[in-house]
Amino acid sequence: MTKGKDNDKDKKVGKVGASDSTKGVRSTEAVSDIDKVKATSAVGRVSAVSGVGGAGAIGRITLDQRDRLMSIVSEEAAKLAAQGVIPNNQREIVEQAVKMVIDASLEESSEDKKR
Amino acid sequence: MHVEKAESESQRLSEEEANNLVVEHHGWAESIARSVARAWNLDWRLDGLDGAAMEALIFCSRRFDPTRGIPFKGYARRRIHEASTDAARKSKGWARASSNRPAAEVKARELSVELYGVFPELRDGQLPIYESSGNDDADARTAIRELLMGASLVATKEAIATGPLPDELMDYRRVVTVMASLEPVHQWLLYKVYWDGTSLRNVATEWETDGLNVMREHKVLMAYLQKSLAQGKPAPTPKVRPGLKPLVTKFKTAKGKGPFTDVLASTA
Repeated sequence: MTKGKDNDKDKKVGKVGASDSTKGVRSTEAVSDIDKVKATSAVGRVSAVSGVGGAGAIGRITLDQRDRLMSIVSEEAAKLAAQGVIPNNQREIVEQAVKMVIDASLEESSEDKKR
Repeated sequence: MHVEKAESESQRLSEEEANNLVVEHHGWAESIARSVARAWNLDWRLDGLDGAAMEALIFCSRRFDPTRGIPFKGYARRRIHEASTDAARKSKGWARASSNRPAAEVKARELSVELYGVFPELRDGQLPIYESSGNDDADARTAIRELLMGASLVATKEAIATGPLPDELMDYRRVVTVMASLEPVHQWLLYKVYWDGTSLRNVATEWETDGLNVMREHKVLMAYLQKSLAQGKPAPTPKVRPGLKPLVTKFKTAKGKGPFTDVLASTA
């Protein structure tokens, strides 16, 4: 019996520890000065795209540049032949071949615009 | 292995999505076929270029992997162009023109086909501009000059192979003499491009070097050729750029004095 009483004592809830106190919340810092937004400086005008312009950095060629490209081929072929870089007997064939290869590579730009 | 295969297959489009690509791009594929036909005076329908372009488009739509980040047009254009030019060369119109068109035009057509091997970027609808100077017009002019000189070198190769006429031989010897004055590695670069029809990018891959090394060196060599041929004697030969230096010893020891030195000896 005595033993039973002892057991009851054991079951008593022990002292409840106090919960940790909340640490101090740091106060928010004052917002530091915001620089004024600087005025955008003048953006230089985009210069007009010349001649074959639009070919872009990767040299894309489209049908609307055809005439200009063909005339550059003729001009450069004439220069190279005059300098003796292209033998005269080859000039016609070489010029025609380059025109053909460019012509066959042109992208129809109107097709792009439709999409 | 099976897992890898299954994964790579799963990246492709469903049949419906692929069909949609075909529907969306068939007009564009036809425009490529029309360009090829226009350049070579063929009928894009009668000569079968439309069918070839369509077949290539369907093939590409089935193989296209959108997860690779390449737009469909970028992926498919070269193949569609190749299919169109192959069909053109096999067409009745091509054969007919070979017999009833002026000889110069026939030769020009054959030469233009060879240029696609040297300058494959043309199939992508681009001029061979490897580095932009910021001036599109000047870049286009330089690229066209390069195409003209390239076409001239390919024509020279053809003429030497078929036996040139005596009055032409002097011109061709002059070109080969200028090239034979170059370092063997430079000779090999020009030989691979214009005699073997290998693109600059493929030469770089074969030589296990950066593409820009080969492209910049090629530009220097073209300027050298232009200067030498214009003044009628070899200009001071360009130095080999550091990026290609490891190849200098290789070519000097393994491949003699250079291929054009050999061509020159054979035409003597």
